[in-house]
Formats: sequence, structure tokens, C-alpha cells
Amino acid sequence: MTVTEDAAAVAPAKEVGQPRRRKEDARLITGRTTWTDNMVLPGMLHLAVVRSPVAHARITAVDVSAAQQAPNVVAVFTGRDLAEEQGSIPCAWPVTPDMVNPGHPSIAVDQVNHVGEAVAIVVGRSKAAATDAVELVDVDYDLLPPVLDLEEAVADGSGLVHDQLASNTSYHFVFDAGDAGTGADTEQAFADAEVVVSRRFVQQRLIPAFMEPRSVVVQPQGENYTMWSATQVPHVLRVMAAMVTGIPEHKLRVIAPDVGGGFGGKLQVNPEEILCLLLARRLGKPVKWTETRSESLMAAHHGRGQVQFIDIASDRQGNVKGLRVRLLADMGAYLRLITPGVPALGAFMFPGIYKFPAYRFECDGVFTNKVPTDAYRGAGRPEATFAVERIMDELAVELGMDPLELRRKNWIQADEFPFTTVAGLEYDSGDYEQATREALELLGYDELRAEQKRRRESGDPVQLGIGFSTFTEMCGLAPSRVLGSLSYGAGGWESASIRMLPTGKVEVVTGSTPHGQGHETAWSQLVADQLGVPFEDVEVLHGDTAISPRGMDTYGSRSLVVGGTAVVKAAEKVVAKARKVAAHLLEASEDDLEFADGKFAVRGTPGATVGIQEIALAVFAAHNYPEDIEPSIDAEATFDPVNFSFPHGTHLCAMEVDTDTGMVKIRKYACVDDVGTIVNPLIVEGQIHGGLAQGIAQALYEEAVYDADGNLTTGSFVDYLVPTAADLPHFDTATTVHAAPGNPIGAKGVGEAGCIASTPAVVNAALDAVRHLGVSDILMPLTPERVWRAIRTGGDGGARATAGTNAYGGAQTESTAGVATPASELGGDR
Amino acid sequence: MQLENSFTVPVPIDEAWRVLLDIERIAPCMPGAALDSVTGDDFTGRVKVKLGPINLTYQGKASFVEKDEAAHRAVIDARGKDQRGNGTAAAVVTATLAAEGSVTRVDVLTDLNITGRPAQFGRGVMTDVGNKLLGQFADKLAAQLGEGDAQGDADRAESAAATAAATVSGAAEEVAASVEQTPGDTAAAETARKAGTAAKKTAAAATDATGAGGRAPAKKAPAKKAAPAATDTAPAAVAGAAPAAATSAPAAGVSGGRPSGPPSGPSAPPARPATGAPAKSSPSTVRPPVAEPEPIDLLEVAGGAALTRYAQPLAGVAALLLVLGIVLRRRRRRRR
Amino acid sequence: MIPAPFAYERPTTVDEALQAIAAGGEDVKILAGGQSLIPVMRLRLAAPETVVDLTRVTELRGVREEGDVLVIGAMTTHHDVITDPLIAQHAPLIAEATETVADRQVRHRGTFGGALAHADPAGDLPAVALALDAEFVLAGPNGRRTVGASDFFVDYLTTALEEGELLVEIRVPKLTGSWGVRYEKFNRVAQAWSIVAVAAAVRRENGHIAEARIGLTNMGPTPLRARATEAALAGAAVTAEAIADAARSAAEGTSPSSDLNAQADYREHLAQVLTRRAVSAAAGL
Repeated sequence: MTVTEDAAAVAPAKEVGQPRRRKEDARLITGRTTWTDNMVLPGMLHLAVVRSPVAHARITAVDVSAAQQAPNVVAVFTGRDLAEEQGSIPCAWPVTPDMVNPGHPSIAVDQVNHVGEAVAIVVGRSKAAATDAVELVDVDYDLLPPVLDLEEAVADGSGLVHDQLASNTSYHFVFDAGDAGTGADTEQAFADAEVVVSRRFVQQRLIPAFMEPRSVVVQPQGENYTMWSATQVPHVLRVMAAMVTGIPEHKLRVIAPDVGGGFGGKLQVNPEEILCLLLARRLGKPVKWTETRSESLMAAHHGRGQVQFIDIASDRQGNVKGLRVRLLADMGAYLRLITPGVPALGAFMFPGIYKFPAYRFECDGVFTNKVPTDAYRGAGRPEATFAVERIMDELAVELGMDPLELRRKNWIQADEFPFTTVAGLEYDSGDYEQATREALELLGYDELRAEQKRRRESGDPVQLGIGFSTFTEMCGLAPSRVLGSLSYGAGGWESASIRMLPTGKVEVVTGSTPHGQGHETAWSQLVADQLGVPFEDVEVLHGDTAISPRGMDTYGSRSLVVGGTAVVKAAEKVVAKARKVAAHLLEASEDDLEFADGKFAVRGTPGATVGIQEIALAVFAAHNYPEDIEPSIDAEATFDPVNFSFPHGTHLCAMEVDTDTGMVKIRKYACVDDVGTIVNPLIVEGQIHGGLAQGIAQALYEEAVYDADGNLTTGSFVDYLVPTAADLPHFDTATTVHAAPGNPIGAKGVGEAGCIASTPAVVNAALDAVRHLGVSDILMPLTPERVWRAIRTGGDGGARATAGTNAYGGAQTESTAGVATPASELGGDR
Repeated sequence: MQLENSFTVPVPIDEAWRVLLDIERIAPCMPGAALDSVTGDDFTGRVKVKLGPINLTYQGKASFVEKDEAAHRAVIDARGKDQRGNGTAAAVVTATLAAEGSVTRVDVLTDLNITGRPAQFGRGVMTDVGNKLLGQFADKLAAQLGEGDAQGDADRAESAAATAAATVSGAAEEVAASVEQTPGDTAAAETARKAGTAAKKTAAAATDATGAGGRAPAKKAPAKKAAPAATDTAPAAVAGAAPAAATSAPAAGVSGGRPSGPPSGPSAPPARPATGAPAKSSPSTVRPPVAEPEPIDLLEVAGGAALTRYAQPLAGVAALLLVLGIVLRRRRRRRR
Repeated sequence: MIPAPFAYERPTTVDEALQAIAAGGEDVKILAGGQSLIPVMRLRLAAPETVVDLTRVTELRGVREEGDVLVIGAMTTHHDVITDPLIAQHAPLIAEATETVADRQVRHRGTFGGALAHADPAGDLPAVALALDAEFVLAGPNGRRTVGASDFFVDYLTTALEEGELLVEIRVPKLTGSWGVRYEKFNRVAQAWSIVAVAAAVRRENGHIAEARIGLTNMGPTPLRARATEAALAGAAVTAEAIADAARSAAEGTSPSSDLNAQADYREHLAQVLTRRAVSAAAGL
């Protein structure tokens, strides 16, 4: 028996890599925690918001007298009452110097610009009283024609969302690789190309649909204010709310208690958060507002909403020569926190994993009379990935090539990392071939291809298709200098501190605020390994600007990559500080100390050890410590990444399409993701599953539909279809590991991978199943009706529900007094 | 949402025109509607909609915004708010009369705009409500116009029913013919028989009701003070603007295979779903929904007399026409 | 959302319930399982003056036999319907359709009678009741009356129930002979309403279809029978071709609406496809 073997037998297993069950889940799942709406404060008043039922109108009168007299109503406020103090919801990302921002009142004063916009607020002694009195507020609207369609909004002669502006275009953002020096001249590349394929893709509007509705409580205490909010970004919110309201930042404390999901939907400074602050200040009493699901669907920000014009150039052999992207991005009625930045963030990801020599990106941010868009899981990158993975399939069809062969021919090879792309990003590590090979095995690719052939030959009503998505994404948002170069209003660093308690327990303070991701578990695993303390001895504190004063919160798959690294750096500092104390206590030289498994040992002196947890007690007592240091081994670190990280993977979807009904059904889904080093495989698996559900949902189920008057007709979960486990297939998942070189953990980020990768794989699969029937595109979501129409008539399936419904304000309404409409000139092309 | 209804009434155009302009006779044609006040061409009132568990009461004002005697065209602009703050409803109703010999054809085009919670359902709750409201409005208007200008009485009601029945008899023959031509139509025939029976029953019931003394097409509602009326004078042009814009949108296709155009360039056509011209319904097919009690709470608000008087005989005829509609529809589809 | 204030009555007998309904004022709503009423009230699309809650009227629960008829109490929950041995034996179509209703939670609260009285044409049970020629027993201030399924469903969300009346039980004739049944439901996600669904019961005799009953869900303002298809199937051979031929007329006489999930012509197409599938399965093909 050798010493090495002996040591391995007794040493505690490394925490990193263990599928630890999440330590926070018991309280989250059972609800034994403080959600914001659970907060009850003495004398607390309740707010209910009167919202505009119309998309675009001038407010001609607001009569609140009846509501004011309703039982248990304390006050009613209109936009006029708050006009002087409400400021504007901040936009932190002016993507171009000349970007037009019309300002975003928290409550409408003279004009409403989308359905659901606040027009009055009722303050009641109970939620029920406030809700009842909402009915009594009488608002007169002078209707204006709504601007809803992106392409119409930018056409000459379009009506204006904001009539004080010259147009509906907020900004025109351009990235040109030729100009940036990262690629060749795009126009020339297209002029020289043997093959050009052009497509128009539509990214429908999506609703983040987090489980916990938004909720805010504000408590005034003299000049000080404490705000509890179901937010992803308490730190960002504090800074912004202070700037908007004029409440000094040091007089404002923001707490995000346990938060039930966000998906980007709570990466916001919400109008209601500002209104709660204003009213608490005005009334001098605690106030609470919690939204209903209906409010959430129509008034919380939406995601996606783009029309994409994509051109790809290649030679006859399938070597890609250039990519050109022109976007119309739906801003909605106003610019919220990073509304304009979402499509700009995607600008750098359209080239995907392929070696395009030339690339040009243009985007118009367009105002419409709809609720603003903003971050939603992936934010800009799913849109880009969808476009490039779809257009690669279209190019393959054009060239008569196997779509996988085409990809192989153009993707970055494993030995080419680090690779600087045509968009100027330096991809860190990976092996696309390996991930693809493993994914093909996982799917049983050859067998399914054989079955597809059989079904096609026999004319089976159920056809089979296989779709690819070989994707990458930029994660670990973000290097602060890069954000600066993109005109973002803040940095991308993260902060952490570690407090060693006298009993040896450890408090980890993180600025990366979780809202369901499992930070407490993963951070505990990191710290357990770094400090050699038991997993159970670590407590993670977060989400309170008084406890965790510095942070940039959670979004963009950044927490582990940036926030986790800050924790590791803080732990390294703790060990360094403890080393001095240990040397003192062991009467040895620091250089002779080894630190392993939580203990400092003197090299060559068996038995001379002291544990880091003992050292914590020693510095607490402070009876005996080196003279040249402070009696503390606590430490703090801030980490600012130098580069993004670039997870990648290959997602394969096998899809059955019932050509009789248009129903699509995922037969099998296999994916191999490379998210770098994995701290907790269970959490990674969970993130992949959840991401897949959301990405598949974009492809098949979800769409925020506005009718021709600007009503959100998917105003409840009856019509906004969020799939459940019953609607989703089994997922065959696996991972490859190419550690990220940019951080000591080696992690790349996993929060968005499944969501970004899956959408194009699903759509490509459905198209592969029916392409031989003359179908080359189907709009998302792929409703059975759209698929059926596309098969029947070609085209892309068309808009949903035109005739006879309020859903699209269709003019061909069947009269009950008459007979039928000639049911539908409902071809695919509408 | 645009709804179009067409029907013919067995009176000459000048008589029909006079009735059309008599708001106190027209207003109760709106199912569940009650007039609160009438001042010249402006009137205020309520429309109560009851559909299963759903219960909405819109309160508002309406006015004639156009009375073109030469063209026999009248435009009514109506707008209201739900009493529970559930949103607004606005309608621009354009009625155009055309003489067809001794009878008059009435085309009613309605631009209906419903906002708020009832509009937030993709399952088309409000489409159903809108369709029903407008369909019934057209039906009752047809009955009103069929009544002519005279004071109604029991004889007159019966004769109107008889006339209406006569009007459809020609069409009924066509149905019969088509039934003969259509194989496997026994189900439809059975339904027709049933409907016939139902029609007889309701006609009898109607006669009873009329006999019981329902009089006056619309009792003159006491002109209550219309408080909000003064502030509510939104010009019709505004109301009309939104739907008009919608319908005039170019019917541009959005083709998957089309080369992409620049975002703001002329080659990026509007993606709005095409909204073609409203489909015309056949003039000979007045089809009130059903012969059974209506979901619209008309009795309660508009007064029992008006309903039993006009709705029921017509509903009886309607049951027949329901069948007719179904058959015509099928034939039409074949033709396509 | 919080509903508007309302008065609340919780009777324990049918008579008490009828009294409560009579005394409840102008706008009384009856709460059975509440799976449709409560959401509508929470959205404030309904604001009844009085809600009469039937959950404690125990006499309205349960399933019993009366000769050739199964009698299902209006307050029998979907879950109880699914697990009831009498229904499994004599009216398996009801059990099969009920299993597709919404989700487990809803099925434990929602009731058979409540779903039928709500008369949502997209609901699954009205078409089944129609296909099985069920009868509806309505209790009112002046006693009870029985209405056939074809007369019970009047319009969108509207039934033959008069004000002051209560649906107390549903009488379903037992299927005797060699019947096969199938409920073919088409929806986008598991817990959603039917876009279209077809309830089929087929009796086979001597290798032929002796009788077919087909109920259509969401093909008009009320549930409908596919009469033309039924007629075509009577006496037809049990072959895929014969069934497919007959199913082509499944949408005759329907008037489906257009909404976000489907436009009318697509619904008509679905009715044909689903009828073919449902009948084929019910006929044992």
C-alpha cells in the first residue's frame, strides 16, 4: 500500500463534480420561506393598478371620485398626480449615440401607448378593497390608431407611436466586420458568391412567465426606505431607483428575498417598483403591490419580437463566404432597462460556430404600441442562433448537401481554439466534432434516418424528420471593458466575500442574486473544496443590499462563471490570511505549510496541523495572532472577466409530423453540451432540461398574440401555452468538458444553453419531415394548423386565426344572420 | 373585428329609411340594450351581455354621425365602457338601404372594437358575443323594418311573420332541391322537420304573447339626464380610423421563400395578415341564431313586449333558415 | 385576482339549494366544482350576487343503476366518474373522455354535472352526453322535468336550464350489445381544451356496423352529432375504406368558430380525420 493510495482513501471526495441535491429546494418547494407577497408589515397599505384597456390613446379624463369614496380606500392617484416626481424608467443601454428614447413614465399622464399601461393607482387598506375600487375609476380615452406591425411601423407614412418623434425607429445599430477589421468586405463577398440564399424569419414575442408573480413591498422609515422586490437584480434596482426617485442611494435598501424564477423577466426596473417607492414616500406608510397573472402577462416585459432578414453566401462546394443580417427588433412602446441592447447583444452571435470570412449586421429598434420587450432567457443569442442554424439548413437544401456535412465543412476545428470570429469574439475552447459525434450516437441517428426513408417511400401519413443545431453562445456576462465599448451603462464584474465565524461555520456573501438557480448549493460546493470545510458548514447570503452591498446580480449565464469565480478568489484570500495565522500558531515558516482538506500542516512534521475552522476561532478570540496582521481571516474579492465564455453543443431533434392533422410530436431529443467544468451535474442537468422546455416552447407552443387593435389575446395561460412535463419528450443529455480558460473554475455557463440551442433544432426537424412535400418554412410556434396549412398550400402556415376572431381583427367575419363566409382564403401566405 | 349582415325586408325603401332613423325603435334591436336618453341624434344607454357565467354591462352613448338620405346610408357611432372596468366596446355601424323592387335590401357593416379583459382570450369569447349581438341586432332590425312605419299590433305581427315566411319560401324551394341532389342528407332533412315543428311552436307562443297585449315596439324610455354625454363627444372619425387602417392594409403575403428585403426598404412588405373585404352574406338568408331563450339578457332590460313581439316569430322562421344556411353553405363549398 | 363580493350559500339538500337559488336575487350562480366559474369570477367577467355552493349536497353525488339506465349524480366528480365500476362497465366512453379533462387537480374538483351545465362546446363531456343520448333531470321550484341531450344544449354556454332550476342528475342509457367506444381528442397541450374532439360509439353485428353514434366537440356553439356520418355507417362494412368514406361527411351541419388555435375550415378538416380515427378504433380496426 502506497502513501498516495492511503491518502486517496481517507480524503473527502471533492465537492465540485458531485450531484448534490440543492440545499435550498426544501424551503423553496414547500413555500416555507419569505416570498415578497408573504411580507406583512404593520399599517401596510395595498396598491392596485388601473390599467389601460386600449393600446394607443390620449387620456382625456380620469375620474377617481367614486373610487376615492369606496370603503377602505385611502387614496387614488393618477399619472397627473405623480407626473412631477416619477421621472422615467431608466434605459441603461443606449446602443448608439443617437438612439431616440422618448422616456418611460411609470404611470401614463396624457397618453397610453400599450394595453396594460398604468393609468391610476388605488391605495386600499386591504388588497380586496383596492381591487374592488379599481372598477370605479373612470377613464376616458381618445383613441389613436395603434402601430403594431414591425414592417409597417418602419414604412413610409406609418402612424407614430410617439407623435413627438420623427419616426418609429429608435436606433439603427450596425456592426460591419469589414469596417471593424475582423473580416472581409461583405458586399464584395456577396457580389462574388456563387450561391446566395435569403430568408425572412420571425421571432415571435414571448412572455417570460416566471412562476412567482412580480411583487413589491416598500417600507418607509424616516428618510430611509427598504424595498422588498421579487427581482433578479436588487443591486441594479437600488442604483436605478435612487437615480429615478432622487432618494439618496445610501437611504435605500433593496432586498430580493427568495425569488421564484425570472428568466430575464425580472431583470428590470419595473414601473410598479418605482410607483411603490413614490407612494410609500408620499403616504409615509408601508405599501405592497403584487400582480395578478393577467397583469403579469400584459404588463411585465416580453421577450424576442424580431423580423430577421438573413442572407448567406457560399460557393458551390458549400464553403460559406459571407453572412448578412438585417433585423427589425420590436422595442414595444418604451425602452426599459436593456430593451435596445438585447438585439445588439445578439449581433455578435449570428456567425455561430462557422468561419464566415465576411459579416455585416444591421438592426433597427422599432417602437410599437405593445408592452416593451427586454431580456428573456438567452436575450439576443437565441435569435441569432435560430437564424444561423436555420439558414445553414436552407443553404444545404440549396446546395443539395447533407446539412451536417455543410456544418462540418465550415465549423471551427478543435485545434483552432482560441479562435477569433468574424464578429471579433475570441472563442475559448471546445470540440464541435466530438459533441456532434456523441449526440448522433445518443439519438440513434442512422436508424432514424433509415426509418425516415421508409416512411417517405411508403407515403406514411406520419413523416419523420431530424433537425440539427450546432450552437455556441457567449456567456459569463461580462468583461466590463467590452460592455463599455458597447455603451452599456454598467460593468460586468461580480463580488463575493467570505466570513469565517468563530464556530468554524462559513458565511459566503455573493453579489450574484439567485432566483431559483441553486447558487447556495453550488457556492457551498466551491467553498467546501477551497477551504476544506464540510458542505453543510457553508451558508450563502444574497439578495440584500445591506448584507451583500456589491453585486451585479444574475442573468446571462454569468453567476458561476463570474460570481462563482469571485467566491473562489475570496476563498483564496481567506486561505492566504489563515496561512499567516497558522504559521504563527504552528511556529513554522509560511513556506513550510501545506494546505489541504481544510488543514495547514508543517511539511515533514507529522501531527503539526491546525484546521482553518480552528483558526477562525483563534482570530475571534484574538489572544494569540501575528503582530503584523488584523485579527480576521475574512476576505472579499471582485472578479472582472477578461473574456466571455463560450459553451457549445450539438442538439438533435427527431420529429414526427402527422400530415393528416399537422400535429408535430418530438420523437426523440438528444443533446451533448459542453459547458466547461461542471460543479454540480444535477444542477446542470436541471438547467438543460428547463432550457430545453423553454426553447421547445418557442418552437411549438408559446406566442404573445396581439390583435389588430393591440389587445393581447393570449392574456391568460389558457391561450399562452406554457408546456408542462406532460407535453415534453424524454431528453437524452450528455456533456463533454473543455474547461473555460478564462476562470479558475473552468465553467462556461449553462443557464441559457438549452433554451438557445433547441429552438432551431426543433424547427429544422419539422421542416426535414415535410420538406419533400414542398414546405420550406413554418412560422413559430408550429401550431398543428400552421403545419397543416403549410403542407396543404406551401407557404409558412400563416398568421393564426384571422377570420372571424378578435385575435387578428380579421375582417372576414361570419355573420350570424348570414351563412358562412367562404370559409377561408386562408392559404399559407398571409 | 368587422361583421357584415345583409337581409331584405318586405317594405319599400322610403318606409324602411324612416324606421331606420327612428332611434327609439332601432336601439332596442340591440340585444340587451336599453335607452336612457335621446337628444336629437345623440342617445345614451346600456347594453347588457350575458353569456353563460360571463356578465358584462356596457354603458355609453351613441349617435348618428351620418344620415345620407340620397344614398340611404346611415352611420351610427356607439361606444361604451363596462361597468366593472373590464374595458370598452365601440362600434361603428353603417347601414345602407337598397331598393329591390318592392322590398328593401339592408346591408349592415359593423366595425366592432372590444378592449380589456373580454378581448384577452384567444378562444374568441368576444367573437362569439360580437357575432351574436350583431346577428341579433340585424335580425331585430329586420323585424322592425318589416314592421314598417305603423304602430304594431297583433295582426300586423302575424302578417309580418307570414310575409317573412313567404320571403324565404323561394329559398326553401332551393333548399329542397339541393336536398334532393345531395345524397345521404337524411340528417339534414330530419333537422329540417324538427325545425319546422319548432317554428310552429314558437309561432304559436308568439301569437299568445302578442295576444297578451305586448304593444309598442319600444316603450319610450324616460329621458334621464345623460351626465357623461357632454364630455363624450368623440368624433366618429377617430373611432373609424383604426379599423379603416386595418382593412386598408395591403394584402401582402409573407412568403417563406421570398428573398429578404432590407428592413425599411420597399421590398419588405407589410406582414400584417391580409384583411380582405368582408365576405358578403347572402341577402336571402336571415338567420337569427336559435329559437331558444337567448343568452343575451334582453327581456330584462329592453322590456318583455319588444322581445316576444318581434324576436319570437322571427326566431321560428329562423329555425328553418338555420337549416337553409347549413345547406347553402355546403353547396357553396362544393362549388369552390 | 379577487372576485367581487358575493353572498354565499351552502345548502345540504336539493330542496335547500332550490330555495337558496330562488332567494338569491337577480344573479345567482351555482357552484359545482367551480373549475370554470371561479376563474371567470376572479377575472371579474362574472360578478354574481349570490353563489350557491352544492359541494355539501351529498344526494347529488354518486352513480347508480336503474334498469337499463345509469344515473349519474350531477355533483359526481370527474375523478369519481373515472374510477366508477358501473360507468366502466356500461358507459366506458364517459370514463375515457373524462380522463382527458384538464389535469388531475381539476378532475378531483370538477364535476360531471357542472361541466355539462356549463355547456362549453370545447368541453369534453357535452358531446359524449349527446352521443349517448343522455337525459338531463332538472329540478325546479315546480318539480322535476327531464330534457334530452339534444334539447339540453341550446347555445354557446347556454342550456335548457331555466332560472331557478338545477341540474340534479344525468340518465345515461346503458350500451348493450357489442359496442366499442373511443374519444379522440385533439389539443395542443395536455391540459388544454379540445380544439376538436370526437366521441364515437359503434355497435358491431355480423361483421358490419349496425349503429354508430358520433358526438362532436367544439364544432359549433353546442355539441353536435355527426348525423350524416352516422347514417352512412349504419350497415357499413367494418373496413378502413367504408369508415373513411363515411367520415368525410363528419363536418356536415357544423359551424365551428375560428380562434387562435384553429380556423373554421381546419376544424372541419379535423372533424373528418378524428371521426375516421375514432370510429375505426371503436369498430376495432
